[in-house]
Amino acid sequence: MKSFSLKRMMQFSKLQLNELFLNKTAAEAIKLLLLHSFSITFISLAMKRNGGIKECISLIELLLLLYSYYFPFLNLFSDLVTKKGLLNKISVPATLSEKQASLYYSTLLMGTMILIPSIIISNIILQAAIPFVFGDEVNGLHLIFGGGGKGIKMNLIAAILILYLIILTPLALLYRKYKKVYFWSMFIAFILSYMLSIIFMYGLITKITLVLVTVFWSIFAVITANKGLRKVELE
Amino acid sequence: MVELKNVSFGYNPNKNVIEDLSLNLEEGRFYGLLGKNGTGKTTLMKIISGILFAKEGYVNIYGNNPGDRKLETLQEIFMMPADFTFPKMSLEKYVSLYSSFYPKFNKDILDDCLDNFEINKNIKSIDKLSLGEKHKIAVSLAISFGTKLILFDEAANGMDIPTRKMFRKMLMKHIREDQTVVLSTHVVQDIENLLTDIIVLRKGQKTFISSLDDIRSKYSFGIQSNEEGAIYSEPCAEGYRVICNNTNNDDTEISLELLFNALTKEGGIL
Repeated sequence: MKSFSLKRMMQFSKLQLNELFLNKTAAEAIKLLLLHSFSITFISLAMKRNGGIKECISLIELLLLLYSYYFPFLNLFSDLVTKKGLLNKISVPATLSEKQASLYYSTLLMGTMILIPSIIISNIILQAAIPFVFGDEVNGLHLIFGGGGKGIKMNLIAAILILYLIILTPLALLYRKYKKVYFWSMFIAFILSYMLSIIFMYGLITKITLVLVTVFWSIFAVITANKGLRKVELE
Repeated sequence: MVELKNVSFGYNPNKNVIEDLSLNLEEGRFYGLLGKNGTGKTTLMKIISGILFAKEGYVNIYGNNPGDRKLETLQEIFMMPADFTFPKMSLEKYVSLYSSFYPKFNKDILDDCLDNFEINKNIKSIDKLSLGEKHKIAVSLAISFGTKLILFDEAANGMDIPTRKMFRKMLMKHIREDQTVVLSTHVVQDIENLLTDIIVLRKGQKTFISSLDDIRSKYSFGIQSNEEGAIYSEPCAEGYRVICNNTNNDDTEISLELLFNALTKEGGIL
């Protein structure tokens, strides 16, 4: 029997997405998207008003990326490892590799489905709020993910932050499944690796080094998370 | 074949719920898993289905350890828990999402079960159903998925008397010769006419496992005016309900309730 089937992975993804997200009515989904976009935009405007429009947009971009991808991931992951429903997801007939791959695939899909409308809504809110928040200091169109922020470098760092959170979360939530020394070595290595993105921001290392380290740790963390998931018991 | 050998499990490291349990479950048989509250019925089912891992001992389900959660093992086990919720979606959608994972799923069996349980197949939100209706759907799914091992944990909870009868009827009608069914309950009347074997979990005593045929050949059950010759008795309106050694090869009807009381009484007489 195949240990990895793309068809089964997609079926598992469909199962989780339907149970957790796609069973909402259009009105409920719009309400959630509005709440998501409003809260992020207003918090960013309130926090970074004195830093200028670029700072504000940059923070909105970071938070939009973070909340759009990380919260679906948390939902999907906890659904996988908790006792829930008639059939626990861990007992659904699919291999663990398929379930894990589905977790990342569903996160990417759902995150993007949340992110795109959120960018549009947040842009509308921001344009409407600029005259009230910044007055005459700011003129013209300043777009979220349209060059209004601090640029691609900041977005890359935000994306790496989310990737690190996504790959660290299973390790943190399953920490009891690992030997203490192993877990803490992994944790410290990750924190140090994340520091690289900050060093990169100041131009001390190249983009290639940052990407290589990130890819290495991502693969290592995915394998480690798989080992942890194999030991999950639903008590 | 399902085999457990010297299995122990405890939620607390110093106290085992299940201690040194060994049993074999054969194909084509209906096992009644009985025991007072807290004797580990649900825990045992979770170990068999790979949700929990035995702390000691060996569990083998059709050649694999269920804790490894191999695809071929997961496709052959279905455990219906006592408490569960349904997500907010239609019955049709729910069935289409889950049934695709079970290669032996049979839509005709599902339709027959749902029809007999008088469940409308066009339910829009299964999360809003009553406990009894949810159990009817879960039982129908459990039977129709076609797994070789089906574990029912207090499946009759929330079902009224006619539904319990229908539950028995659906099991008798649709369970194949190569399937094994384990039904846990603390209300023995639910399943009396269905079982071929019983497993009684007892606190601090060895687990009792026997086929009902063996019990019938060894013991006779009846009502007497006195306790003479009884290895276990309980007073009742007519005198005493008794269990005696079946020396005359009588073919008496087993009273599971009486047998259960005899087995779970302090000191356990059998």
